[in-house]
Amino acid sequence: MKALLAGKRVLVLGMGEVADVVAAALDGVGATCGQAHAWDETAPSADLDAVVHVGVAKAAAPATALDLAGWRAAQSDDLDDRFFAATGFARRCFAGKRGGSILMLSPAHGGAARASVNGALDNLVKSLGAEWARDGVRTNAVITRRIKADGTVDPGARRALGALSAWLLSDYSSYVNGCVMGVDETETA
Amino acid sequence: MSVPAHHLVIEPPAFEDGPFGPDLLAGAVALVTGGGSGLGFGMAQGLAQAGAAVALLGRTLERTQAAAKRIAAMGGRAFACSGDVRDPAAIAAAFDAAEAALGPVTLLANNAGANFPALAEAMSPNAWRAVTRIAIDGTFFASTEFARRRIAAGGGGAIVNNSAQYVWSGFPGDAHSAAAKAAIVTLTAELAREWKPHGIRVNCIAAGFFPHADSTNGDDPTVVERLAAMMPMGRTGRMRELSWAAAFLSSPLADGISGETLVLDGAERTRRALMQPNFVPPRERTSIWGDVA
Repeated sequence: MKALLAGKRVLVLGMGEVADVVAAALDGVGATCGQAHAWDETAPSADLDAVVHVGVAKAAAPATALDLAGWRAAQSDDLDDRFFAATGFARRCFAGKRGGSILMLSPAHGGAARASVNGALDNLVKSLGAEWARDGVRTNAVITRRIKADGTVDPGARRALGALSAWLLSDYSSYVNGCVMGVDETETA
Repeated sequence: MSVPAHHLVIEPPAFEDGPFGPDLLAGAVALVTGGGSGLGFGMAQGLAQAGAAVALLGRTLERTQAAAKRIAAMGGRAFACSGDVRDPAAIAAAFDAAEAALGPVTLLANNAGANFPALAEAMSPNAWRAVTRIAIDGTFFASTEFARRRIAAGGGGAIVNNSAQYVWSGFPGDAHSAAAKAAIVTLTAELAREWKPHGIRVNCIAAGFFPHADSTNGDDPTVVERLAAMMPMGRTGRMRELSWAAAFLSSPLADGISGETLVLDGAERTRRALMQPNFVPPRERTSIWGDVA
């Protein structure tokens, strides 16, 4: 099998074990991965081929326990930064007149803040997928219970999550755009 | 009419430069319903490129035989058979024949389908039954036949179902297929849940426009060019993209992925503007699905 991401430069953003799991998987299929906790508009990133954002792990808290600061922190770290990263990356693609690929990863569960972030993320990805389609920039997401609220990844799902991420970022899936899917969301009794 | 030159239209690598060598699915045997043409044949090509032997099941033996020759010409191992997927006995017979020729079937790709523009109020019971039963019954009966055999063998397996991008929006003028294709998405999730303890994965591809000779508008270049300009990505899907997606989901690379629907439509279903052309009911259009002349 070919290295799906041979020669591609990928920036993996966010915090938690999931960032390391995905970066290692992408490295394993030929990508050169950099990692950062959050998008830095001033960082040199003109030659990136793809951006992955895993958000920021936060333990689930009851809705009634979330104050303004806690609520806003979750939204800022997990939603706003994804938007800033996507738009920053896209602007660089437009300027360079080249395509690119964006992938958002998120835990499926984790309280009210996570639920609202995931709802926003779902439709953000669908909107950006069409908005930037004629610029050759694709946007997709994997929202899965196999990523836990604390950012760890179910050991049994690490390989699948890495393979799916690599597949969605690769040129071989270039007609997958605006897609939001899981890994294995089935619960058996 | 055409895509402006300053738009960036990304094409996938050529089929010959596909991502998977023949080692990925070496030793696997895939049965592909509706495998004699169109998207079914596209899936069969991808599975064969990745090393699987493929059994092509279709209504017309001559067509599946011709498709099998094309698989053989690309270096693959193929077997052709015929049968009606609405008939469980015919499906069992096809599995028997395929296994006699190629060995135990370990992968299944459900593609058998039919579709045509039709006004719901004018649709005959036969038209409704044909489209829904080929897609829903056919997918169910082929999947259960596959699962019974895999559970008995104890070796796990993988199923990939073919659905469509309009399953979340509906499709006025296509009520039969809209209902049938949506059923396949929910069936995918339920069968994945039910057969997970047996190591059988079930996934689905919700495909957008992949023009081919047997589709309603065919693969006429003029029509395809117009379709391309309608698509957010400036083109329709290339069959090899479907081929590779089917191979990926069927392969060990996707172990752990089950119950999922991969949308392969270039964001076509998300196309929306605040102001759009006036709505015209299907019965008042030049053609039910919209004018493509």
